[in-house]
Amino acid sequence: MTPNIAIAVLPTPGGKMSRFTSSKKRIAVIVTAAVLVLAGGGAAFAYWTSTGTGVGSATTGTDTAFTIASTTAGSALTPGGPTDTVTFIVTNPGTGNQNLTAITAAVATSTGAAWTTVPGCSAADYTVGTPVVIFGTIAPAGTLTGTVTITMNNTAANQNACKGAAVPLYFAAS
Amino acid sequence: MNTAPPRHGRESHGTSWGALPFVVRAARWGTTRWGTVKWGTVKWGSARWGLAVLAFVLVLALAGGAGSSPAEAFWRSTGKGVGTATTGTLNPATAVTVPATSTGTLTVSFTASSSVPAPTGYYVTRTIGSVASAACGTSASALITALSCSDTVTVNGSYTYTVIAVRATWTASSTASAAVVVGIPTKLVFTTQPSAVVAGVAVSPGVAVTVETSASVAVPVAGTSITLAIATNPAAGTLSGTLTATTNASGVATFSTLSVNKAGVGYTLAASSTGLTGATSSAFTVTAAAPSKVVFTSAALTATTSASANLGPVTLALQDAFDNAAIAPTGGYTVVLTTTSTAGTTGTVFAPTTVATTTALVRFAAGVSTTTFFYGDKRVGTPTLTAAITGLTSATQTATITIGTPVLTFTVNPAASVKQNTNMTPALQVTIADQFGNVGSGAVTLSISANSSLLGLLGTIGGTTTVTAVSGTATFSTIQINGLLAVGNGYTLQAASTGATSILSTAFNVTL
Repeated sequence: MTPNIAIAVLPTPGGKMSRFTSSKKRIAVIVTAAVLVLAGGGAAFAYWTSTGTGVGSATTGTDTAFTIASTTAGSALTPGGPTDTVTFIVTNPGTGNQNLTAITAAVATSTGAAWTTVPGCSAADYTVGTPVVIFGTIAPAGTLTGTVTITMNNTAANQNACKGAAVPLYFAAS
Repeated sequence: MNTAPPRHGRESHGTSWGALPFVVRAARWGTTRWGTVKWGTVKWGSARWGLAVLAFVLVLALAGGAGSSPAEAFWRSTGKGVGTATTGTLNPATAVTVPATSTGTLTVSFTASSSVPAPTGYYVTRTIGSVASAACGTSASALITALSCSDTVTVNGSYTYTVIAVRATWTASSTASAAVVVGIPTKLVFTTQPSAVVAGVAVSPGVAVTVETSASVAVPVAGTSITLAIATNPAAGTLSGTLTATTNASGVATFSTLSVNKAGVGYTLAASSTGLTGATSSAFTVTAAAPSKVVFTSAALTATTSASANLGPVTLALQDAFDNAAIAPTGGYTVVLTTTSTAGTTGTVFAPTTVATTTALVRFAAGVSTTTFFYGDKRVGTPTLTAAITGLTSATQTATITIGTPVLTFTVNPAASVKQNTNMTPALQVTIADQFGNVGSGAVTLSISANSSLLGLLGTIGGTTTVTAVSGTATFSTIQINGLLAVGNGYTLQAASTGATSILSTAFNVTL
């Protein structure tokens, strides 16, 4: 951890100020420094430190799950055929910044389970690429857009079962 | 799945300080360890220290105010989403078409798959019953891109064809075509046999020959050329008409103009076609047509002159236009016989028998095809005999009439009294002729036949005693009776000629 060192130029109650009057140059230096500090970091002002107690409450927010929408562009998939590009949009529906650090895409059901809807056709018949997105913080109601590719494999086996299949894509963001 | 992240976080950016006003973070790169600076602990008496503090503060101020951004706080979260990608499909070829029938080689055509992208190619299968096999020389690994192909089937049957579109691992089978009945032509069969027919008349009904499979199923293929010929030919007949015909759509070739010109029993026809096993018809009979002519069927004959019908039998026959022996119809035919003999009607005779001396009717009785007649002619020669029947073509034949038995006749006998050793005058003449006056030829020899005188026995005949007849007459100009003792009475001369009966002259005396 980086140590923090605070320099406070505070008037301390009961403190000696006469040493600074002996030299106009020193005073000027100090005044200049004070001015500069105030100019860069805000106006400093002197105050007394004190203690006290009181009560109050504030409600801390919480994270809200990202929402991900996608659209697929390109022609229908065929064995060994064209690569479709799926554009996904990760939205932060919450009220606070949320940081997106990872996202995965796969052929799977909406619950992430193996896709078995079409007998004879499975996720193994397709290849989903690595999502491409610039991760980062998403402001409330903000979005991040990325893309991922999907192709249909040209296997050694007959893939007639996959003809016309709607291939479900499952995105998981974190 | 999701590791719960901290519920909040703070992070610095780059090398800047995360700072709130009046709160700074020490830089990592600081080489000087700074402790907390408390008011009054710095020895300000040193100008250097003062400047250093001032510079440091200035740097901090500048770094915090101009070169850094505020740190940001955020929540960590997770989320999920779904999407869909669409898998294409491969549509099959459509409208697979084959002919309704085939002789073994047929064309399969179809409409291309409507898929985009298009199939890589197609392969074709043919199915009979429940058994499918590769067709058109195609297979899953031997695709075609053309929209038609030719397939050769070697087994008869009813087939359907299916076209399978292929793209990568996808296949799409078309709806099967309509059935094509394949019948491979193997042999010919007479499906309408030739029937008995009259010579020269077209066989009716027409002979039909059908192309069939090995299983004796007609092959409905048009255009096969089939040729007929006589296989068994009992009467050296000739097959006429259109001898080559092509099959119709039912695979049948019909021969409607066949005819045979010679009557006979046991004719058969042979059908042939390139590449097919031929066929032989059943036997059939060709009968003669109606008589169209009368002909002499016997060789030309020779006979001697005669008052009766001695030449024959001469055979006449009825024939049709193709020279087949024909039979006389009901009522028969009467034959009119004539001759060119100079003997005329009184010197000639036609008769059914040899004994007739007068012309009698010669007839073809009903149902017969031949008849005979005899001919007699008193005149030597080669008369032309003509046989004629009304309505038919007549016939002629030359007969040869030779002289009948020669008869010698002294047309100039010796004088009643002749001198010995002296030529008889007038010259003796002997003629050679038959009984009808037809002169003959040959040599005539005279000799002393007899005398009634004792002395006469010593006489001899002199001169040229053998003379060849000229125009039937032998003239003896130098005949003498010689000898010292030839004088006598009752001489006769004998004339002789080969084939003729010798004759005697009148009697004469020989004197000194």
